[in-house]
Amino acid sequence: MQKIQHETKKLTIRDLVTTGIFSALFLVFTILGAGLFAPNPVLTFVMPCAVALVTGPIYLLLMAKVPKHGAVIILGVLMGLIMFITGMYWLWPVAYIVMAVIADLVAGSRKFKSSNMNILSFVIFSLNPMGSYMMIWMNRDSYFSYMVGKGTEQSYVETMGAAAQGWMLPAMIVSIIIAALVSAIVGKVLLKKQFEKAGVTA
Amino acid sequence: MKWDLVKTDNKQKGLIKLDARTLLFLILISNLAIFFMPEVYGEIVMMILILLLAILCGAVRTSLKIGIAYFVILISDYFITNAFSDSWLIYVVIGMRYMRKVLPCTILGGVLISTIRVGELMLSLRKIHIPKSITIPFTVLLRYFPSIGEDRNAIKKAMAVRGLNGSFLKHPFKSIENIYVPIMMSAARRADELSSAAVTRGIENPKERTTLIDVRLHCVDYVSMVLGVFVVLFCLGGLQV
Repeated sequence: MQKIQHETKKLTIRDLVTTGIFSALFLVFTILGAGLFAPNPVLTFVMPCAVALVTGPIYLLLMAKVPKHGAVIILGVLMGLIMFITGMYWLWPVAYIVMAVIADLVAGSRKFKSSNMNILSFVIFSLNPMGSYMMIWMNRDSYFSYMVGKGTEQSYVETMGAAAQGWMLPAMIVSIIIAALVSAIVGKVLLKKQFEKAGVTA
Repeated sequence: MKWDLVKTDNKQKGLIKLDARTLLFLILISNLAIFFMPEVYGEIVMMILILLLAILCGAVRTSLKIGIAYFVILISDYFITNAFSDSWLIYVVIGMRYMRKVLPCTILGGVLISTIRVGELMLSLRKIHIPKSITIPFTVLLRYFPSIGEDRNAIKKAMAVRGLNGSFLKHPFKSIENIYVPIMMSAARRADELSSAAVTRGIENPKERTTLIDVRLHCVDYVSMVLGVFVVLFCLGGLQV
């Protein structure tokens, strides 16, 4: 028989279940945020901002409940797995996992206790949808000549490239950061006001 | 003994049934292929083949809906590109293209969701050596997901009793509090209950788990994987000639 582990550093079954439940909540709120914007060609670029705006409190409560290395990584892996199963671009799941690892390290540097570090970690984690939008900028030339094929006038490709390159990428990143900050601050206030008093946080 | 009779959740049945691993593999290669696709024709060929596969697997209605959406977007993209190539509409085109390229894999994902049971998916994930620290939260996520809707209804009723419905514009912060706090409280409570239940039922048992479901790669799985690889290679390279 293997010994059941009692060390606090490792994730226990309780932590795993808690992470799973909060990932489900995170997924529901992501769908709520994304569902408003994603199926609209004009507003699809606002989607990550909306997702960041609604998921902050859940992320912070997960950190308060499971203040250990790994919880955020599991959240990232699960969200990435679901995005992969539903057929999103492969770079998005990859970005989910990479951002989750970075966010875990950032919050872990203060042992998940410093609320400022947790907010910063949420901002980093919220940048994950950029992995999906990156494809527009990564293989730009093939992306823009894709539809028209060879032999289209170069001016079209240039207009298209300029439009996508100029301000959209920085604008998206800034909007995500602002939305994530607002959401995380609301989450922090909620944690202080409601959950710490009720003794829900670990 | 036919264990099929014991299973209560009914999933769609088609002419063929693919394993979860096959579908995951097909999603992966078509995802990569669409990312690196040099011309739109290859994408159209792949889309049509994926539609055929989805219909064979029995996920007819959703696949046809997504397929129609795909071709509508494709045609309007073509139209806008040729007619209004230098107006603000190109922003719409960028967004539409971005959405369109997701749709083929979404169909495959829909097949996975509508034909594979949660237990089968978990077993497949375990067979490709995904660690326990991922599969346990994933199972919990999939099981807890539907009950969030119930919680939401209960909260709506409670808010209506206290006369708090529809006052979002008057008290935005209070409304946020009224939605988030009960949902997160109930999630925290359920996490405690569920982990006690799971430990009681022996989730910490280090022994290999046994299962009633038979998850194996059949002939049709190998055939569709090999065909998938060929189609992807053909669409990526062969069409340019």
